[in-house]
Amino acid sequence: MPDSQAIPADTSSPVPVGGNAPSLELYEASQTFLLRTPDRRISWMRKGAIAILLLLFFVGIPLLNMAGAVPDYKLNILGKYLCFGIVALGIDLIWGYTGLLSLCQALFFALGGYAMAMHLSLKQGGGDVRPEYNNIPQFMFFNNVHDLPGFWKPFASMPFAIVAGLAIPGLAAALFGFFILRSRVRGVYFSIITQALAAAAWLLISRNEMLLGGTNGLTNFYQPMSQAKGWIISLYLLTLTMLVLSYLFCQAIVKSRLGRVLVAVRDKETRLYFAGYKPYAFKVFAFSIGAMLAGLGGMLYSPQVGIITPQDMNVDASIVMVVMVALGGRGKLWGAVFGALLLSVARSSLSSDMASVWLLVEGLIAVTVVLFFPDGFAGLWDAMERQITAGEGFWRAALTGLPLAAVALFVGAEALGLTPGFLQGDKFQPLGLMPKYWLLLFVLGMAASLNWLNRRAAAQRFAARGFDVVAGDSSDKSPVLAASAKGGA
Amino acid sequence: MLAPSDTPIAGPMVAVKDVVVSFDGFKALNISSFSVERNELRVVIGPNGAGKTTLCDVISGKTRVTSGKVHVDGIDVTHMDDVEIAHIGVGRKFQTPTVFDSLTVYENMELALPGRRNVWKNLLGSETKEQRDSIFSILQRVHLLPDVNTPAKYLSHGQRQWLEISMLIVADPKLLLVDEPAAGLTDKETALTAELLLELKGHHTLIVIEHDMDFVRKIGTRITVLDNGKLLAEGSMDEVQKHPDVIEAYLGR
Repeated sequence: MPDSQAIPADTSSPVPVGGNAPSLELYEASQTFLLRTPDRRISWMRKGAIAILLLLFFVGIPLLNMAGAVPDYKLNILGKYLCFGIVALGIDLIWGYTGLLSLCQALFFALGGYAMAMHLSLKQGGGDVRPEYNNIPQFMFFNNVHDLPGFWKPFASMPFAIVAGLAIPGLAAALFGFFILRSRVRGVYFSIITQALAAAAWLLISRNEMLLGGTNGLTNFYQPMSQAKGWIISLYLLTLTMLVLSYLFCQAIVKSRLGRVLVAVRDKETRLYFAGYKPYAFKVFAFSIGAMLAGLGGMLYSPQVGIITPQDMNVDASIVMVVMVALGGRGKLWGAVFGALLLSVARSSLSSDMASVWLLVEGLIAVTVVLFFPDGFAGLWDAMERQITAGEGFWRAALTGLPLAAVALFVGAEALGLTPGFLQGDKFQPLGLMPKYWLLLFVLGMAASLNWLNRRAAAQRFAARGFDVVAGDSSDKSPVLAASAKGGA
Repeated sequence: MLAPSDTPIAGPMVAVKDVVVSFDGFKALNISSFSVERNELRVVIGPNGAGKTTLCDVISGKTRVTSGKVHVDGIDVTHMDDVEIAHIGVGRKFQTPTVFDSLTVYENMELALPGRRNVWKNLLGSETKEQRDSIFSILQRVHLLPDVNTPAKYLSHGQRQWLEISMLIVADPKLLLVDEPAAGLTDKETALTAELLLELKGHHTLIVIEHDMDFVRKIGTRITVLDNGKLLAEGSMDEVQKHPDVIEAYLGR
């Protein structure tokens, strides 16, 4: 190799190319990198939204409840929805960021729920345990078990139950994830295996021999928990606080370099192998954290609902949880929480207003989201931010955000029982559908069609300027990027 | 070319001995001996289906050999998996540019930095000033500085090629396997790519697979010609071009 003589021997810098000579261009780029803050209006918008939401949930809703405007049972149900919000955060971490579609989150949720329910079924947890039933949970007595089984005993301690509620789902996911993910099982195969796991666990827990209450599940907890006002508000605030902490925890993961590796796993797993990463370790980590979040949600769920049964962990429960995240917007943490609230509220409203069609509507939502609305509601907020940054004007941005606002209003009004009577259809119900649904459909339909027209007009403007709008995702490209992508290729 | 202290074993960087790779009986690769010296830039050429990419796959652990031995830097890698091989310092650029689409150019580079490959080390800490500077100086070299915050999916084909090469450079591996770095590039872009590879030579060992003969002439070093999985000829551009077997392989039988 004659050339090697020409190369200086000292290579203290790991960078052989270009050297580290400072240049103006380099300096400027590093500055723009370090100062990568969003537009000022956008940061105000975000801060405002966060402040409003925190005030509403932490102060507004409890005050409304104390003033009597929001009934206790509504607050109790809202607390239950917030539990799904925690689960959804975990799913978003696993699916939205890491790209693993897990169809057994309800199992982890129920594992946490059962851990807490076991504590609450015992005397120490305030369970309804009577001397005539040997001081053990009633169902055991009815199953001819007269002494508390050994594995129930530690659950008498609340700290143990809490640790178990997090550790059991976490370890189960870690163990299970390790074996299937290490062998590089990917994509739909992973989903199918997790679904099979959910089905198997459901069958197992439903059996009376498991001494977990069989198909009836665990109930007869300390009654005031889902009936006394003080307990309801406390549990609601506890759940809310846990949701906020879980959110901050997930955000810390997502914002760290680890979060970028998770996205890299989702984008191009094979590239990571050759860069020396072991993607399965990262997947197991995400899966395990997601399972622990699901367990946390479950632990807060069972005391508020007062019962946990194998129905809470069956296959469709897991699917509903995934639809929540898809609807809210995967890959955005707040989107997952929003989706959880939205679908839970829609589920409760629709299943009480139109019990016969609810499942159809749920399926329709799932299909619509997958086909036409892949970014979910969080995607609308992002589109709005892009439009504001690009200076497209207030009305365009407002139009983009309209469906988000309409749906948020619907969720709020329905969840708190504040929907006005005439919208509930106490005066008239055209075609048997309550006016609130007509209104929601009208707003969503109008916004969708106006947005479509708007996008088409924008595409025509680009075309007129001589740019090809890149097919497929014209909506999320600024003209500059689309042009540079074309020019460079 | 005195061996620095961190290279314990002298001898070739890559040594492939009696390697056979067969897919259902079809011998995709059948090489009795192929070696690349330290800090050499070796170009591997050959018609489609000659086994060039399979050779890279074998060295980087993507494909297992049916029989034979592969050594990298004196270490027997025959039975190691791709991640382990990456850990001993083998970097790879794929035929189609393979970058992380949703991550920005900077974030792509950040993940390629050496070290910090386990979960916990990724959760805490951030890159040092020197690492950040090295990323910026490489990006400046490949004209990607203005796009430092652009998600990789919005880059043009050429920019993606460069980003992937930049990721290899910042990872600072001992051995770089570069599969068709000039595919789909304009002449100007090809020239810069050639320049980059030549600068890497002498610090790193490179195996470059390429179709583009002008490009090969530009980086003009030792060339290995593969055909039908077999090693056909080895030598300089002129020697190889005059080789009767090579002429036959390229001009048809």
